[in-house]
Amino acid sequence: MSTIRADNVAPSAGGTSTGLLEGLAKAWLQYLQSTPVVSDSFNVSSVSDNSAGNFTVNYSSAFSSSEHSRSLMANAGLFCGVVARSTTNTQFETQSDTGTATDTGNYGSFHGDLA
Amino acid sequence: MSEIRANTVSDAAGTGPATLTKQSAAKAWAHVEMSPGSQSRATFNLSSFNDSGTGQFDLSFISAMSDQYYSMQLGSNGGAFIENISIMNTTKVGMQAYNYSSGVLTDLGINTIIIHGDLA
Repeated sequence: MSTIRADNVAPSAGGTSTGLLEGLAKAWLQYLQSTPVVSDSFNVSSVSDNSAGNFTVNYSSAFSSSEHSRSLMANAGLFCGVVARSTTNTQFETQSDTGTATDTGNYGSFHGDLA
Repeated sequence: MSEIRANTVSDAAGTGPATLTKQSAAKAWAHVEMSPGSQSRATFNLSSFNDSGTGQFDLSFISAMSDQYYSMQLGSNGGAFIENISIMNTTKVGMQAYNYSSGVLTDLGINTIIIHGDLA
């Protein structure tokens, strides 16, 4: 297998380069908590099912800062928020519009710098 | 800082995606307008925009996903609306936007999709 090592990639004629360190997702997953099962993932070692609607995504490779970007989508019209965060994991909770924590499908992507 | 300049990056065989180390590129994204008219404004690896009814639409992948277990986030404007995944398979994605209190499907001016996962 061949490997190219570079910090940026740009069009051949020059122009705006893409920072490979910052611009690409460092983790993503699809997690169905009602089962529970991690359907697919990237840089996720495990997901802890803490309680109804409450789960923790544990990264395989840690981020350099706890303040990296998290985008999470909850299905079935539920809302999702960050409960706790660190460089090695993020805890989420999905709730209905009445505030009831509820298991559902969750789809997340994470951006930032790895440690 | 090193930089590579190229128009296309692929695997060594030239037929598939390159593997990135500890990072993952988005495999598709879209910005769709459902109000005042319905159209896809900008897309990546998505085409064949279909207005399937008030507050709902779908798009087809140009390059299919390997399975339906990818990650997808939706966004919209309006503040009082919920986005829902209506279609999620290897060849198509669909989105709905509805008022969270009334449950009424509603056309919104801004609807966004971003997808991470593995291509077929």
